[in-house]
Amino acid sequence: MGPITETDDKELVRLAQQGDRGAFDALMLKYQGQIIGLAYRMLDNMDEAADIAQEAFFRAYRGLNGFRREAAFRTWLYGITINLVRHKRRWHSRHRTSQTFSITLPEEEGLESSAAEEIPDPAPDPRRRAAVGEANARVSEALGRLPAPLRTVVLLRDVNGLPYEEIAQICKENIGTVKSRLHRGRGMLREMLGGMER
Amino acid sequence: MNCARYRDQFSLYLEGELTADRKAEMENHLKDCAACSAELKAMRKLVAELKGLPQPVVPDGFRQGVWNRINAPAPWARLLGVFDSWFVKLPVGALATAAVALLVINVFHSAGPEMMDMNKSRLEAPASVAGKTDLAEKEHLNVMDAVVEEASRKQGKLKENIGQFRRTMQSSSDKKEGSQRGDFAGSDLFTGREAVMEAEMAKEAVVSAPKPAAPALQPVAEPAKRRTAVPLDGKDDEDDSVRNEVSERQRWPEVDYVCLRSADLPAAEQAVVQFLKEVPVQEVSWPLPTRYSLTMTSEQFDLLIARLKKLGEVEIQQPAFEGRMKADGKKEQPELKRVILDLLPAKTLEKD
Repeated sequence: MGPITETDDKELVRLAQQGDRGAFDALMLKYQGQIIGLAYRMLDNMDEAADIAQEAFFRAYRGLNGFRREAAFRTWLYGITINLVRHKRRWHSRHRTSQTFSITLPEEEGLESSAAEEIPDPAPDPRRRAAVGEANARVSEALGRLPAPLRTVVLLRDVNGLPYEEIAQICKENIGTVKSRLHRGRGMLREMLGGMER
Repeated sequence: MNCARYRDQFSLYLEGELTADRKAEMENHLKDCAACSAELKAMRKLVAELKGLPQPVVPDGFRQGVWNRINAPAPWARLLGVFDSWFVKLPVGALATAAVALLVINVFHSAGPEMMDMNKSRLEAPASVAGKTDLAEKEHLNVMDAVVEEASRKQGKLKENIGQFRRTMQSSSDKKEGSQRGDFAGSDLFTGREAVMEAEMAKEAVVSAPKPAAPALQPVAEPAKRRTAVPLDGKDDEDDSVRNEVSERQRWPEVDYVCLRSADLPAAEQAVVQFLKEVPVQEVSWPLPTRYSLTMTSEQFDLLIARLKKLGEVEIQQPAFEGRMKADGKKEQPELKRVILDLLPAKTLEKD
Protein backbone atom coordinates (compact mmCIF):
# COMPACT_ATOMS: atom_id res chain seq x y z
CA MET A 1 0.00 0.00 0.00
CA GLY A 2 1.63 3.15 -1.15
CA PRO A 3 1.08 6.59 0.24
CA ILE A 4 -2.31 8.10 -0.31
CA THR A 5 -2.01 10.28 -3.33
CA GLU A 6 -5.44 11.82 -3.32
CA THR A 7 -4.31 14.79 -5.37
CA ASP A 8 -3.16 12.48 -8.14
CA ASP A 9 -6.46 10.66 -7.99
CA LYS A 10 -8.43 13.90 -8.25
CA GLU A 11 -6.46 14.96 -11.29
CA LEU A 12 -6.85 11.56 -12.90
CA VAL A 13 -10.57 11.54 -12.15
CA ARG A 14 -10.91 15.05 -13.60
CA LEU A 15 -9.19 13.96 -16.78
CA ALA A 16 -11.25 10.77 -16.96
CA GLN A 17 -14.43 12.78 -16.55
CA GLN A 18 -13.33 14.82 -19.56
CA GLY A 19 -13.07 11.63 -21.59
CA ASP A 20 -9.41 10.79 -21.08
CA ARG A 21 -9.44 7.01 -21.12
CA GLY A 22 -5.75 6.89 -20.32
CA ALA A 23 -6.44 8.62 -17.01
CA PHE A 24 -9.02 6.02 -16.07
CA ASP A 25 -6.64 3.28 -17.16
CA ALA A 26 -4.06 4.75 -14.78
CA LEU A 27 -6.59 4.64 -11.96
CA MET A 28 -7.31 1.00 -12.79
CA LEU A 29 -3.63 0.20 -12.84
CA LYS A 30 -3.24 1.82 -9.45
CA TYR A 31 -6.15 0.13 -7.69
CA GLN A 32 -6.66 -3.17 -9.50
CA GLY A 33 -4.51 -5.17 -7.06
CA GLN A 34 -6.25 -3.75 -3.99
CA ILE A 35 -9.73 -4.27 -5.40
CA ILE A 36 -9.06 -7.81 -6.61
CA GLY A 37 -7.38 -8.64 -3.27
CA LEU A 38 -10.32 -7.29 -1.27
CA ALA A 39 -12.86 -9.17 -3.39
CA TYR A 40 -10.78 -12.34 -3.30
CA ARG A 41 -10.45 -12.33 0.48
CA MET A 42 -14.15 -11.66 0.85
CA LEU A 43 -15.26 -14.35 -1.61
CA ASP A 44 -12.42 -16.91 -1.50
CA ASN A 45 -12.72 -17.39 -5.23
CA MET A 46 -10.32 -15.77 -7.67
CA ASP A 47 -12.59 -15.99 -10.72
CA GLU A 48 -15.46 -14.35 -8.89
CA ALA A 49 -13.10 -11.78 -7.38
CA ALA A 50 -11.77 -10.79 -10.80
CA ASP A 51 -15.30 -10.57 -12.14
CA ILE A 52 -16.44 -8.41 -9.22
CA ALA A 53 -13.41 -6.16 -9.60
CA GLN A 54 -14.04 -5.70 -13.32
CA GLU A 55 -17.67 -4.89 -12.60
CA ALA A 56 -16.59 -2.38 -9.94
CA PHE A 57 -14.29 -0.55 -12.39
CA PHE A 58 -16.98 -0.73 -15.07
CA ARG A 59 -19.53 0.86 -12.75
CA ALA A 60 -17.03 3.45 -11.62
CA TYR A 61 -16.40 4.41 -15.24
CA ARG A 62 -20.10 4.58 -16.02
CA GLY A 63 -20.72 6.68 -12.92
CA LEU A 64 -17.77 9.03 -13.36
CA ASN A 65 -19.92 11.94 -14.46
CA GLY A 66 -21.97 11.74 -11.28
CA PHE A 67 -18.93 11.41 -9.04
CA ARG A 68 -18.27 14.44 -6.86
CA ARG A 69 -14.61 15.09 -6.64
CA GLU A 70 -14.79 16.24 -3.01
CA ALA A 71 -14.92 12.58 -2.05
CA ALA A 72 -11.93 10.29 -2.52
CA PHE A 73 -12.03 8.12 -5.60
CA ARG A 74 -10.59 5.25 -3.59
CA THR A 75 -13.39 5.43 -1.02
CA TRP A 76 -15.96 5.44 -3.77
CA LEU A 77 -14.36 2.53 -5.59
CA TYR A 78 -14.04 0.48 -2.41
CA GLY A 79 -17.67 1.19 -1.61
CA ILE A 80 -18.77 -0.09 -5.00
CA THR A 81 -16.69 -3.21 -4.53
CA ILE A 82 -18.03 -3.93 -1.04
CA ASN A 83 -21.60 -3.55 -2.32
CA LEU A 84 -20.94 -5.97 -5.18
CA VAL A 85 -19.34 -8.42 -2.78
CA ARG A 86 -22.37 -8.22 -0.48
CA HIS A 87 -24.70 -8.93 -3.37
CA LYS A 88 -22.56 -11.85 -4.45
CA ARG A 89 -22.53 -13.32 -0.97
CA ARG A 90 -26.30 -12.96 -0.73
CA TRP A 91 -26.59 -14.72 -4.08
CA HIS A 92 -24.38 -17.51 -2.74
CA SER A 93 -26.45 -17.80 0.41
CA ARG A 94 -29.65 -18.05 -1.64
CA HIS A 95 -28.25 -20.60 -4.04
CA ARG A 96 -26.16 -22.48 -1.49
CA THR A 97 -23.23 -22.77 -3.83
CA SER A 98 -20.80 -23.33 -1.01
CA GLN A 99 -20.75 -25.39 2.15
CA THR A 100 -21.18 -22.94 5.00
CA PHE A 101 -21.00 -22.84 8.73
CA SER A 102 -21.75 -20.19 11.29
CA ILE A 103 -19.67 -18.77 14.06
CA THR A 104 -21.54 -17.86 17.20
CA LEU A 105 -20.99 -14.19 17.94
CA PRO A 106 -21.78 -12.14 21.02
CA GLU A 107 -24.64 -9.72 20.53
CA GLU A 108 -23.62 -6.67 18.59
CA GLU A 109 -25.55 -4.19 16.58
CA GLY A 110 -25.28 -4.98 12.91
CA LEU A 111 -23.76 -8.38 13.49
CA GLU A 112 -26.87 -10.50 13.47
CA SER A 113 -26.06 -13.97 12.37
CA SER A 114 -27.81 -14.32 9.05
CA ALA A 115 -27.60 -16.49 6.02
CA ALA A 116 -25.82 -13.68 4.23
CA GLU A 117 -23.10 -13.71 6.83
CA GLU A 118 -22.42 -17.40 6.71
CA ILE A 119 -18.89 -18.10 5.78
CA PRO A 120 -17.71 -20.25 2.95
CA ASP A 121 -15.81 -23.34 3.89
CA PRO A 122 -12.17 -22.24 3.89
CA ALA A 123 -10.93 -25.45 2.36
CA PRO A 124 -7.38 -24.86 1.19
CA ASP A 125 -7.49 -23.45 -2.31
CA PRO A 126 -4.40 -24.56 -4.23
CA ARG A 127 -4.25 -21.27 -6.10
CA ARG A 128 -4.46 -19.35 -2.86
CA ARG A 129 -1.70 -21.36 -1.26
CA ALA A 130 0.43 -20.92 -4.33
CA ALA A 131 -0.28 -17.22 -4.37
CA VAL A 132 0.33 -16.21 -0.81
CA GLY A 133 2.74 -18.86 0.28
CA GLU A 134 2.55 -21.33 3.10
CA ALA A 135 3.62 -18.79 5.74
CA ASN A 136 0.61 -16.58 5.11
CA ALA A 137 -1.81 -19.39 4.48
CA ARG A 138 -2.78 -19.70 8.14
CA VAL A 139 -3.60 -16.02 8.44
CA SER A 140 -5.53 -16.05 5.18
CA GLU A 141 -7.43 -19.11 6.28
CA ALA A 142 -8.28 -17.54 9.63
CA LEU A 143 -9.39 -14.38 7.84
CA GLY A 144 -11.67 -16.48 5.67
CA ARG A 145 -13.41 -17.74 8.77
CA LEU A 146 -14.18 -14.30 10.17
CA PRO A 147 -17.78 -13.09 9.88
CA ALA A 148 -18.07 -10.78 6.90
CA PRO A 149 -18.60 -7.49 8.78
CA LEU A 150 -15.52 -8.11 10.94
CA ARG A 151 -13.51 -9.40 8.00
CA THR A 152 -14.34 -6.32 5.94
CA VAL A 153 -13.08 -3.98 8.61
CA VAL A 154 -9.92 -6.03 9.32
CA LEU A 155 -9.14 -6.21 5.60
CA LEU A 156 -9.70 -2.52 5.02
CA ARG A 157 -7.71 -1.50 8.08
CA ASP A 158 -4.92 -4.04 8.47
CA VAL A 159 -4.46 -5.34 4.93
CA ASN A 160 -5.29 -2.25 2.87
CA GLY A 161 -4.31 0.32 5.49
CA LEU A 162 -7.31 2.63 5.20
CA PRO A 163 -8.03 5.17 7.96
CA TYR A 164 -11.04 4.72 10.23
CA GLU A 165 -12.95 7.59 8.66
CA GLU A 166 -12.68 6.11 5.19
CA ILE A 167 -13.66 2.65 6.42
CA ALA A 168 -16.69 4.17 8.14
CA GLN A 169 -17.73 5.81 4.86
CA ILE A 170 -17.21 2.61 2.88
CA CYS A 171 -19.13 0.43 5.35
CA LYS A 172 -21.69 3.16 6.04
CA GLU A 173 -21.11 2.76 9.78
CA ASN A 174 -19.92 5.16 12.44
CA ILE A 175 -16.30 5.19 13.52
CA GLY A 176 -17.08 3.65 16.90
CA THR A 177 -18.60 0.61 15.24
CA VAL A 178 -15.58 0.34 12.96
CA LYS A 179 -13.16 0.39 15.90
CA SER A 180 -15.23 -2.13 17.79
CA ARG A 181 -15.34 -4.49 14.84
CA LEU A 182 -11.63 -4.15 14.26
CA HIS A 183 -10.90 -5.03 17.87
CA ARG A 184 -13.28 -7.96 17.80
CA GLY A 185 -11.97 -9.19 14.46
CA ARG A 186 -8.38 -9.13 15.62
CA GLY A 187 -9.34 -10.90 18.84
CA MET A 188 -11.12 -13.66 16.94
CA LEU A 189 -8.17 -14.03 14.59
CA ARG A 190 -5.85 -14.36 17.54
CA GLU A 191 -8.03 -17.05 19.03
CA MET A 192 -8.18 -18.95 15.75
CA LEU A 193 -4.46 -18.66 15.10
CA GLY A 194 -3.69 -19.65 18.73
CA GLY A 195 -5.80 -22.75 18.24
CA MET A 196 -3.96 -23.59 15.04
CA GLU A 197 -0.58 -23.19 16.72
CA ARG A 198 -1.58 -25.54 19.50
CA MET B 1 -7.61 -9.62 37.54
CA ASN B 2 -7.44 -6.71 35.12
CA CYS B 3 -5.90 -8.64 32.23
CA ALA B 4 -9.17 -8.89 30.25
CA ARG B 5 -9.70 -5.14 30.49
CA TYR B 6 -6.17 -4.45 29.28
CA ARG B 7 -6.43 -6.97 26.45
CA ASP B 8 -9.64 -5.30 25.26
CA GLN B 9 -7.56 -2.20 24.69
CA PHE B 10 -4.70 -3.84 22.81
CA SER B 11 -6.05 -2.69 19.46
CA LEU B 12 -6.34 0.89 20.61
CA TYR B 13 -2.88 0.66 22.14
CA LEU B 14 -1.41 -0.65 18.88
CA GLU B 15 -3.23 2.05 16.94
CA GLY B 16 -1.86 4.69 19.30
CA GLU B 17 -5.33 5.80 20.24
CA LEU B 18 -5.10 5.49 24.02
CA THR B 19 -4.86 8.62 26.08
CA ALA B 20 -1.51 9.29 27.76
CA ASP B 21 -2.80 8.15 31.14
CA ARG B 22 -4.28 4.94 29.75
CA LYS B 23 -1.16 4.29 27.72
CA ALA B 24 1.07 4.67 30.82
CA GLU B 25 -1.25 2.43 32.77
CA MET B 26 -1.13 -0.20 29.99
CA GLU B 27 2.65 -0.12 29.85
CA ASN B 28 2.91 -0.51 33.62
CA HIS B 29 0.64 -3.55 33.46
CA LEU B 30 2.63 -5.09 30.60
CA LYS B 31 5.81 -4.82 32.66
CA ASP B 32 4.19 -6.81 35.46
CA CYS B 33 2.10 -9.32 33.40
CA ALA B 34 4.03 -11.71 31.20
CA ALA B 35 0.84 -13.27 29.79
CA CYS B 36 -0.54 -9.96 28.61
CA SER B 37 2.85 -8.99 27.28
CA ALA B 38 3.00 -12.22 25.25
CA GLU B 39 -0.54 -11.69 24.00
CA LEU B 40 0.28 -8.15 22.92
CA LYS B 41 3.31 -9.44 21.13
CA ALA B 42 1.18 -12.03 19.30
CA MET B 43 -1.34 -9.35 18.40
CA ARG B 44 1.38 -7.12 17.03
CA LYS B 45 2.69 -10.04 15.01
CA LEU B 46 -0.79 -10.74 13.65
CA VAL B 47 -1.24 -7.14 12.54
CA ALA B 48 2.17 -7.24 10.87
CA GLU B 49 1.24 -10.48 9.11
CA LEU B 50 -2.02 -8.98 7.94
CA LYS B 51 -0.24 -5.93 6.59
CA GLY B 52 2.25 -8.20 4.88
CA LEU B 53 -0.31 -10.35 3.12
CA PRO B 54 0.63 -10.17 -0.55
CA GLN B 55 -1.82 -8.96 -3.10
CA PRO B 56 -3.06 -11.73 -5.38
CA VAL B 57 -1.70 -11.77 -8.89
CA VAL B 58 -3.85 -9.70 -11.23
CA PRO B 59 -5.22 -11.97 -13.95
CA ASP B 60 -3.96 -11.42 -17.45
CA GLY B 61 -6.10 -9.11 -19.51
CA PHE B 62 -7.91 -7.78 -16.46
CA ARG B 63 -7.99 -4.15 -17.58
CA GLN B 64 -8.73 -5.15 -21.15
CA GLY B 65 -11.74 -7.03 -19.78
CA VAL B 66 -12.95 -3.83 -18.12
CA TRP B 67 -12.52 -1.89 -21.37
CA ASN B 68 -14.36 -4.62 -23.23
CA ARG B 69 -17.29 -4.21 -20.85
CA ILE B 70 -17.14 -0.44 -21.23
CA ASN B 71 -17.03 -0.65 -25.02
CA ALA B 72 -19.73 -3.29 -25.28
CA PRO B 73 -23.11 -1.92 -26.36
CA ALA B 74 -25.71 -1.48 -23.64
CA PRO B 75 -28.25 -4.32 -23.26
CA TRP B 76 -31.03 -2.25 -24.83
CA ALA B 77 -28.73 -1.44 -27.74
CA ARG B 78 -27.97 -5.13 -28.19
CA LEU B 79 -31.67 -5.80 -28.18
CA LEU B 80 -32.26 -3.14 -30.81
CA GLY B 81 -29.33 -4.54 -32.75
CA VAL B 82 -31.38 -7.66 -33.38
CA PHE B 83 -33.45 -5.60 -35.79
CA ASP B 84 -30.37 -4.99 -37.92
CA SER B 85 -30.23 -8.58 -39.11
CA TRP B 86 -31.81 -9.19 -42.50
CA PHE B 87 -33.90 -12.16 -41.37
CA VAL B 88 -35.64 -9.87 -38.87
CA LYS B 89 -35.67 -6.82 -41.13
CA LEU B 90 -37.39 -8.61 -43.98
CA PRO B 91 -40.55 -9.80 -42.18
CA VAL B 92 -40.75 -6.63 -40.12
CA GLY B 93 -40.55 -4.53 -43.27
CA ALA B 94 -43.14 -6.70 -44.99
CA LEU B 95 -45.47 -6.45 -42.01
CA ALA B 96 -45.05 -2.69 -41.87
CA THR B 97 -45.81 -2.38 -45.59
CA ALA B 98 -48.86 -4.60 -45.26
CA ALA B 99 -50.08 -2.59 -42.26
CA VAL B 100 -49.77 0.69 -44.17
CA ALA B 101 -51.54 -0.80 -47.18
CA LEU B 102 -54.37 -2.10 -45.02
CA LEU B 103 -54.69 1.28 -43.34
CA VAL B 104 -54.95 3.09 -46.67
CA ILE B 105 -57.49 0.59 -48.02
CA ASN B 106 -59.54 0.83 -44.83
CA VAL B 107 -59.57 4.63 -44.94
CA PHE B 108 -60.82 4.73 -48.54
CA HIS B 109 -63.21 1.87 -47.94
CA SER B 110 -64.90 3.53 -44.99
CA ALA B 111 -64.86 7.03 -46.51
CA GLY B 112 -67.28 6.10 -49.25
CA PRO B 113 -67.40 6.89 -52.95
CA GLU B 114 -67.60 10.65 -52.63
CA MET B 115 -64.24 10.68 -50.87
CA MET B 116 -62.83 8.84 -53.82
CA ASP B 117 -64.31 11.48 -56.10
CA MET B 118 -62.88 14.27 -54.03
CA ASN B 119 -59.45 12.71 -54.11
CA LYS B 120 -59.78 12.17 -57.80
CA SER B 121 -60.71 15.79 -58.31
CA ARG B 122 -57.71 16.82 -56.27
CA LEU B 123 -55.46 14.77 -58.48
CA GLU B 124 -57.07 16.20 -61.58
CA ALA B 125 -57.03 19.77 -60.34
CA PRO B 126 -55.66 22.36 -62.79
CA ALA B 127 -52.02 23.34 -62.34
CA SER B 128 -51.78 20.27 -60.24
CA VAL B 129 -50.31 20.69 -56.82
CA ALA B 130 -48.18 17.66 -57.41
CA GLY B 131 -44.99 18.37 -59.23
CA LYS B 132 -45.03 22.10 -58.62
CA THR B 133 -43.44 22.35 -55.26
CA ASP B 134 -42.02 25.79 -56.04
CA LEU B 135 -45.43 27.43 -56.40
CA ALA B 136 -45.75 30.75 -54.63
CA GLU B 137 -47.90 30.65 -51.54
CA LYS B 138 -50.62 32.71 -53.19
CA GLU B 139 -50.74 30.54 -56.26
CA HIS B 140 -50.86 27.48 -54.07
CA LEU B 141 -53.78 28.87 -52.12
CA ASN B 142 -55.60 29.61 -55.39
CA VAL B 143 -55.14 26.03 -56.47
CA MET B 144 -56.41 24.80 -53.13
CA ASP B 145 -59.42 27.10 -53.44
CA ALA B 146 -60.14 25.61 -56.85
CA VAL B 147 -59.92 22.12 -55.40
CA VAL B 148 -62.26 23.01 -52.56
CA GLU B 149 -64.65 24.66 -54.98
CA GLU B 150 -64.62 21.59 -57.19
CA ALA B 151 -65.29 19.38 -54.18
CA SER B 152 -68.11 21.65 -53.04
CA ARG B 153 -69.63 21.57 -56.51
CA LYS B 154 -69.53 17.79 -56.49
CA GLN B 155 -71.04 17.71 -53.02
CA GLY B 156 -73.80 20.09 -54.16
CA LYS B 157 -74.51 17.81 -57.09
CA LEU B 158 -74.55 14.85 -54.78
CA LYS B 159 -77.04 16.56 -52.54
CA GLU B 160 -79.19 17.32 -55.54
CA ASN B 161 -79.05 13.67 -56.38
CA ILE B 162 -80.00 12.78 -52.85
CA GLY B 163 -82.94 15.17 -52.92
CA GLN B 164 -84.08 13.73 -56.23
CA PHE B 165 -83.67 10.27 -54.79
CA ARG B 166 -85.76 11.16 -51.79
CA ARG B 167 -88.52 12.59 -53.91
CA THR B 168 -88.45 9.64 -56.23
CA MET B 169 -88.54 7.21 -53.36
CA GLN B 170 -91.32 9.13 -51.69
CA SER B 171 -93.45 9.23 -54.84
CA SER B 172 -92.92 5.57 -55.50
CA SER B 173 -93.46 4.37 -51.96
CA ASP B 174 -97.10 3.59 -52.73
CA LYS B 175 -96.15 1.41 -55.64
CA LYS B 176 -95.09 -2.20 -55.51
CA GLU B 177 -91.50 -2.92 -54.64
CA GLY B 178 -90.54 -4.15 -58.08
CA SER B 179 -91.34 -0.85 -59.74
CA GLN B 180 -88.67 1.04 -57.83
CA ARG B 181 -85.85 -0.34 -59.91
CA GLY B 182 -87.53 1.06 -62.99
CA ASP B 183 -88.01 4.47 -61.40
CA PHE B 184 -84.37 4.82 -60.60
CA ALA B 185 -83.26 3.41 -63.90
CA GLY B 186 -85.36 6.03 -65.67
CA SER B 187 -83.81 8.92 -63.79
CA ASP B 188 -81.09 10.84 -65.57
CA LEU B 189 -79.42 11.56 -62.26
CA PHE B 190 -78.65 7.92 -61.55
CA THR B 191 -77.13 5.82 -64.26
CA GLY B 192 -75.86 2.30 -64.69
CA ARG B 193 -74.37 0.59 -61.67
CA GLU B 194 -75.17 3.49 -59.30
CA ALA B 195 -78.84 3.30 -60.12
CA VAL B 196 -78.96 -0.46 -59.70
CA MET B 197 -77.12 -0.29 -56.42
CA GLU B 198 -79.27 2.48 -55.02
CA ALA B 199 -82.46 0.73 -56.13
CA GLU B 200 -81.37 -2.46 -54.43
CA MET B 201 -80.54 -0.55 -51.29
CA ALA B 202 -83.90 1.18 -51.25
CA LYS B 203 -85.64 -2.12 -51.89
CA GLU B 204 -83.81 -3.78 -49.09
CA ALA B 205 -84.61 -0.85 -46.82
CA VAL B 206 -88.29 -1.18 -47.55
CA VAL B 207 -88.27 -4.90 -47.02
CA SER B 208 -86.17 -5.10 -43.92
CA ALA B 209 -87.18 -1.97 -42.06
CA PRO B 210 -90.15 -3.43 -40.16
CA LYS B 211 -88.16 -6.33 -38.76
CA PRO B 212 -87.96 -5.92 -35.02
CA ALA B 213 -84.43 -7.27 -34.73
CA ALA B 214 -82.72 -4.06 -35.78
CA PRO B 215 -85.21 -1.37 -36.49
CA ALA B 216 -82.79 1.53 -36.37
CA LEU B 217 -79.65 0.13 -37.86
CA GLN B 218 -80.95 -2.14 -40.52
CA PRO B 219 -83.08 -0.02 -42.83
CA VAL B 220 -80.28 1.29 -45.00
CA ALA B 221 -78.58 -1.84 -46.14
CA GLU B 222 -75.06 -1.68 -47.41
CA PRO B 223 -73.60 -3.14 -50.57
CA ALA B 224 -73.15 -6.87 -50.36
CA LYS B 225 -69.34 -6.66 -50.34
CA ARG B 226 -69.42 -4.93 -46.96
CA ARG B 227 -71.47 -7.67 -45.42
CA THR B 228 -69.08 -10.38 -46.44
CA ALA B 229 -66.94 -9.64 -43.43
CA VAL B 230 -69.86 -9.74 -41.06
CA PRO B 231 -70.19 -13.43 -40.06
CA LEU B 232 -68.98 -13.45 -36.51
CA ASP B 233 -70.04 -16.62 -34.86
CA GLY B 234 -70.48 -18.90 -37.85
CA LYS B 235 -74.26 -19.19 -37.49
CA ASP B 236 -75.57 -19.64 -41.00
CA ASP B 237 -79.22 -19.22 -40.03
CA GLU B 238 -78.67 -15.86 -38.39
CA ASP B 239 -80.74 -13.06 -39.79
CA ASP B 240 -78.89 -10.65 -42.03
CA SER B 241 -80.32 -7.74 -40.14
CA VAL B 242 -78.73 -8.94 -36.94
CA ARG B 243 -75.47 -9.36 -38.73
CA ASN B 244 -75.74 -5.86 -40.11
CA GLU B 245 -76.42 -4.41 -36.72
CA VAL B 246 -73.38 -6.11 -35.30
CA SER B 247 -71.37 -4.93 -38.26
CA GLU B 248 -72.48 -1.35 -37.82
CA ARG B 249 -71.59 -1.36 -34.17
CA GLN B 250 -68.26 -2.91 -34.86
CA ARG B 251 -67.33 -0.34 -37.44
CA TRP B 252 -68.59 2.62 -35.47
CA PRO B 253 -68.42 1.59 -31.84
CA GLU B 254 -68.15 5.19 -30.69
CA VAL B 255 -70.84 6.93 -32.77
CA ASP B 256 -74.31 8.09 -31.87
CA TYR B 257 -76.73 6.50 -34.28
CA VAL B 258 -79.79 8.60 -35.11
CA CYS B 259 -82.62 7.52 -37.37
CA LEU B 260 -85.31 9.98 -38.41
CA ARG B 261 -88.47 8.50 -39.84
CA SER B 262 -90.39 11.22 -41.55
CA ALA B 263 -93.53 11.23 -43.66
CA ASP B 264 -92.11 14.16 -45.61
CA LEU B 265 -88.57 13.20 -46.43
CA PRO B 266 -87.82 16.13 -48.77
CA ALA B 267 -88.85 18.52 -46.02
CA ALA B 268 -86.73 16.59 -43.55
CA GLU B 269 -83.84 16.70 -45.97
CA GLN B 270 -84.22 20.44 -46.38
CA ALA B 271 -84.46 20.90 -42.62
CA VAL B 272 -81.26 18.98 -42.10
CA VAL B 273 -79.50 20.96 -44.83
CA GLN B 274 -80.80 24.15 -43.25
CA PHE B 275 -79.55 22.97 -39.88
CA LEU B 276 -76.12 22.29 -41.34
CA LYS B 277 -76.07 25.78 -42.86
CA GLU B 278 -76.96 27.37 -39.56
CA VAL B 279 -74.85 25.26 -37.26
CA PRO B 280 -71.15 25.03 -38.00
CA VAL B 281 -70.61 21.36 -37.22
CA GLN B 282 -67.09 20.03 -37.34
CA GLU B 283 -67.46 17.66 -40.24
CA VAL B 284 -70.12 16.50 -42.68
CA SER B 285 -70.01 13.66 -45.16
CA TRP B 286 -72.43 11.36 -46.95
CA PRO B 287 -71.20 7.80 -46.74
CA LEU B 288 -74.48 6.72 -48.35
CA PRO B 289 -77.13 8.77 -50.14
CA THR B 290 -79.54 8.30 -47.26
CA ARG B 291 -77.00 8.80 -44.55
CA TYR B 292 -75.17 11.71 -42.98
CA SER B 293 -71.95 11.28 -41.06
CA LEU B 294 -71.50 14.24 -38.74
CA THR B 295 -68.93 15.33 -36.19
CA MET B 296 -70.32 17.84 -33.75
CA THR B 297 -70.37 19.00 -30.17
CA SER B 298 -72.86 17.70 -27.63
CA GLU B 299 -74.73 21.01 -27.72
CA GLN B 300 -75.00 20.84 -31.50
CA PHE B 301 -76.17 17.25 -31.19
CA ASP B 302 -78.91 18.23 -28.77
CA LEU B 303 -79.95 21.03 -31.14
CA LEU B 304 -80.10 18.61 -34.05
CA ILE B 305 -82.21 16.11 -32.12
CA ALA B 306 -84.61 18.86 -31.08
CA ARG B 307 -84.90 19.92 -34.71
CA LEU B 308 -85.40 16.35 -35.93
CA LYS B 309 -88.10 15.61 -33.39
CA LYS B 310 -90.25 18.27 -35.06
CA LEU B 311 -89.94 16.42 -38.34
CA GLY B 312 -90.87 12.91 -37.37
CA GLU B 313 -90.06 9.95 -35.20
CA VAL B 314 -86.48 9.95 -33.98
CA GLU B 315 -84.65 6.89 -32.76
CA ILE B 316 -81.31 7.31 -31.04
CA GLN B 317 -78.79 4.64 -30.17
CA GLN B 318 -76.06 5.88 -27.92
CA PRO B 319 -72.67 4.18 -28.00
CA ALA B 320 -71.78 1.71 -25.32
CA PHE B 321 -68.69 3.72 -24.46
CA GLU B 322 -69.51 7.35 -23.87
CA GLY B 323 -66.31 8.43 -22.20
CA ARG B 324 -64.03 7.72 -19.35
CA MET B 325 -65.40 7.49 -15.86
CA LYS B 326 -64.67 10.56 -13.80
CA ALA B 327 -63.78 10.45 -10.11
CA ASP B 328 -67.35 11.17 -9.09
CA GLY B 329 -68.59 8.16 -11.05
CA LYS B 330 -70.16 10.21 -13.85
CA LYS B 331 -69.14 9.50 -17.37
CA GLU B 332 -67.02 12.08 -19.06
CA GLN B 333 -68.61 13.12 -22.31
CA PRO B 334 -66.23 13.53 -25.22
CA GLU B 335 -65.93 17.05 -26.62
CA LEU B 336 -66.94 15.96 -30.09
CA LYS B 337 -69.49 13.33 -31.07
CA ARG B 338 -69.58 11.31 -34.22
CA VAL B 339 -73.15 10.97 -35.39
CA ILE B 340 -74.62 8.80 -38.10
CA LEU B 341 -77.97 10.19 -39.22
CA ASP B 342 -80.30 8.21 -41.44
CA LEU B 343 -83.38 9.77 -42.98
CA LEU B 344 -86.03 7.17 -43.74
CA PRO B 345 -89.62 7.29 -44.92
CA ALA B 346 -92.14 6.79 -42.16
CA LYS B 347 -94.44 4.75 -44.37
CA THR B 348 -92.03 1.88 -44.53
CA LEU B 349 -92.72 1.27 -40.87
CA GLU B 350 -96.33 0.74 -41.59
CA LYS B 351 -95.64 -1.93 -44.17
CA ASP B 352 -96.18 -5.58 -43.32
